[in-house]
Amino acid sequence: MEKRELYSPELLSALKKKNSISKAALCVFIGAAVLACVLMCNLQTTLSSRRYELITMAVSTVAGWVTIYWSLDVISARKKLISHAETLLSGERETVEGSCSILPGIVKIPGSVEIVKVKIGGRTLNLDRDRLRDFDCAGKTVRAESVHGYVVSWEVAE
Amino acid sequence: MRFLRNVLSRLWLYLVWLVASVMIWGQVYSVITDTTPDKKISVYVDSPSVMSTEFSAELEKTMPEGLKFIKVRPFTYAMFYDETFFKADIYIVPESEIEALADAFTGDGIEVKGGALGYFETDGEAYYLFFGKDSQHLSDGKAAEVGERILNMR
Repeated sequence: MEKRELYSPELLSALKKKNSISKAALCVFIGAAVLACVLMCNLQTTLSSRRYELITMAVSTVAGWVTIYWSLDVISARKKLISHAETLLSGERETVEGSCSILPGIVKIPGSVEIVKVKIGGRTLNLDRDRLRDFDCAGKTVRAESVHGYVVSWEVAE
Repeated sequence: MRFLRNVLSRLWLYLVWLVASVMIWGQVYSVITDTTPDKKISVYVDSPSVMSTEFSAELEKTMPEGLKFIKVRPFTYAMFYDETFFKADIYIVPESEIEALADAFTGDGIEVKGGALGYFETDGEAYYLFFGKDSQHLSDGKAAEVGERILNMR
C-alpha cells in the first residue's frame, strides 16, 4: 500500500478556496437578508404592516442564526484547520513505526482543531478528527510520519 | 451531531439575537409606521374591542393632503397619563364616558352611525365623535375632513 499524505499543499489550497467561497456566500446571504428586510419596510402599508413586521422579524432572526452558525462554527473551524495544516506542512517530520490503534474519545483543543489520540508502536500521537476517515490503520502495523506530535502521513509497513 | 453540539454551546448567543431582532424590528416598525402629530390624524376609540388597523386603512383610502397616516388607537386607561392622548384629533367615545373625558374635547359630540360602527364593539351603546381641543388639525380643517369621513362611512 502506498504512502498516504493526510496534509498536502493541494488540500491546503482547496481549504483556502472553500473558505473564500464560504465567506463570499455568507456576505451575499447577509446582503440578501438585509435587502429583503429593507424591501419589506418599504412595501408595508397600514393594513399589512403588522404582517410585514412579523415576517421581517422572522427573516432577520433566522438570517442572524445562519450567520452566527456559519461564521463562528463553519468558517472559523475551517480557518483553524487551515492554520493547523499550514503548521504541519512546514514542520519537521519524524517517523514512527509499529502496531496502530485509535484511542477512544475526542479531545477539543481550545482555539484549534478537534483531535483523536492514536497509538503507534508505543508512542501516542494526535490525529486531526477530520482526517480520521483517511486513517483506517486500526490493527495494522504502520509506518507514520508526524509533525509536532500530529500524524501527517502513513503507510502500511511491509 | 456536531451541528447540534455547536448550536447548544452557543445557545445564549442565538437567544440574544432572537430578542435583539424582535426588539430592533419592533422599534423600526414603530418609527416607520408613525410620524409627527402635524402629519397624522390620531383617532382614539373608547371601546373594548377596536379593529384599529382595518379602521385606519379604510380612512387612509382618501387621506387629506399633507398627511402620512391616520392612526386609530384603542382606548386604555393608561392613556390618562400620556400627554399625546389629550392632543389627539378625534375621539370616539360612548355616551356614558363623555363626562369623564370632557376636558379633552371641544364642541359638541356627533353621534356615530353607519359603517364606522362595524370597526369597534359598541355593546349597544351610542357612540359620539368629538374633536380634540388641542388638536393641531382643527385650524387646517383636516380633522374635520376625517371626522366627516368617519360619520359618512357606509
